[in-house]
Amino acid sequence: MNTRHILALSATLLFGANAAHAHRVWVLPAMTVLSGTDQWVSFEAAISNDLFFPNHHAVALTQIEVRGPDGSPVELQNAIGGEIRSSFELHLQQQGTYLVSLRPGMGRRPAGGTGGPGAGGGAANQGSLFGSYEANGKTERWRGTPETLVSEGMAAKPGFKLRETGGRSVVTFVTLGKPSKDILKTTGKGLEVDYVTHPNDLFAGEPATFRFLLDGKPAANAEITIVRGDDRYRNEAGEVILHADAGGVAKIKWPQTGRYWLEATASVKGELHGVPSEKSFTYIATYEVLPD
Amino acid sequence: MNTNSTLRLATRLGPGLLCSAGASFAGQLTATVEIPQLDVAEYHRPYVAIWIEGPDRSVTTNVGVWYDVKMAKDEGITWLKDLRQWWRKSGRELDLPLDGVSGPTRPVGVHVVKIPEALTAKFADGEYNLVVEAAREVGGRELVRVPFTWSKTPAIDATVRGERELGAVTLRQSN
Repeated sequence: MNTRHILALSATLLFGANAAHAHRVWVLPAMTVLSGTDQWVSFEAAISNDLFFPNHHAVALTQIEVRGPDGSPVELQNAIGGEIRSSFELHLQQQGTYLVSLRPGMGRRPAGGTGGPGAGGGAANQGSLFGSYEANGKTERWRGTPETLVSEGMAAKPGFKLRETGGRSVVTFVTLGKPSKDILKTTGKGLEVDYVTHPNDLFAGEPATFRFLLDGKPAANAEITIVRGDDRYRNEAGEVILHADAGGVAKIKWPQTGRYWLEATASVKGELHGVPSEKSFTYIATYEVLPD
Repeated sequence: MNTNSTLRLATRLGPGLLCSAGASFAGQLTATVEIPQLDVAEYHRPYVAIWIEGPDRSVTTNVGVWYDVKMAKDEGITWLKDLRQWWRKSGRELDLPLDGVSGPTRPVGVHVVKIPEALTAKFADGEYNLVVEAAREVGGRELVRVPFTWSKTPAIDATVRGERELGAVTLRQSN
């Protein structure tokens, strides 16, 4: 795994650089709704500029984790780790919904955290620290760990602002037969979605209701960005940005059929070694929206 | 006379206008489903699902699903998901094949589908749709809704035409 790219991605998300040109991480199933008893489905996973065209960097196969409808691990089949994309297949033999996710924290520098949301969640608290301060009339950026935060005396820098990356989830779903909900259960850690509308039951013309939770509590005002795939063939990506309501609920109206990339961000205010900090969490998912 | 546009107009005006008054006996419903001839390089018979939707658009009754019922290892079921609306609204809940509903794919032509009275006997009065969805391997997909009003004295005589994958779909009472 190329750590540098992941860190660059994190920084982009944190500092709100032009999202339209961000590197986007995704795991994309060839299809999300399957029927039958014994089926195969293929996937690609990459970090790219265009959705969903591998053109930048692969997601390492070791990051990819799959669990079946009953929660048991499902093995990747015919997996290939490429330079600009990884690919694999799944052999679906159990009816229901499967969860494909990237293992959290991998490729990140372990950095501890404030003990706020996400802490104690294993890899979920391996965030990195980002800061900014004023020096000679310019804004300087800083990146480090809880240790360097103290050893470099950052708290004393003028106008020092500290941001931490909390957990980042990257997920997608496929369903054989009737959609099931066991695998969708939220854990109460990090930024998650309580799927009021099942993620493999999305149709153009039917708004989907997703409830965003941060550490199990409504992620009020979480910012949600959706982008339809094939932006390579459009002059404008046409991303839709919306916010969850006070209950963390967002009703998403899909502009049309297609494959969508969703990114949600939410943050909490905390404190690290006496320095006020803002800790942000990211949830990324890939969906397929079918015709009515 | 352009039948096609007339029928489409009739559909837009709503089911009430499609019904002729006067019938006093519910009788049996008979649908016809036309599978059109298509000029394509590779033709496979479409998968077709036929059902009746209640006023809330949930599936009230499955009338038919035509697919490759005889394929080895139930492989025909692999493509049932391409009948997207039927699959999500009903198919995925069913243990297929379903007696009296599952059947083999049909060739080009007009197919008569009798809807047993046993299926409609329980209907409450209200607005319904006969829905026909067709999906063809290496071809397109189309869904046609034929609205009708069910009452103690229904008078149903409706036709809606598909644009490509389906021809005329009709629903009539056969007193």
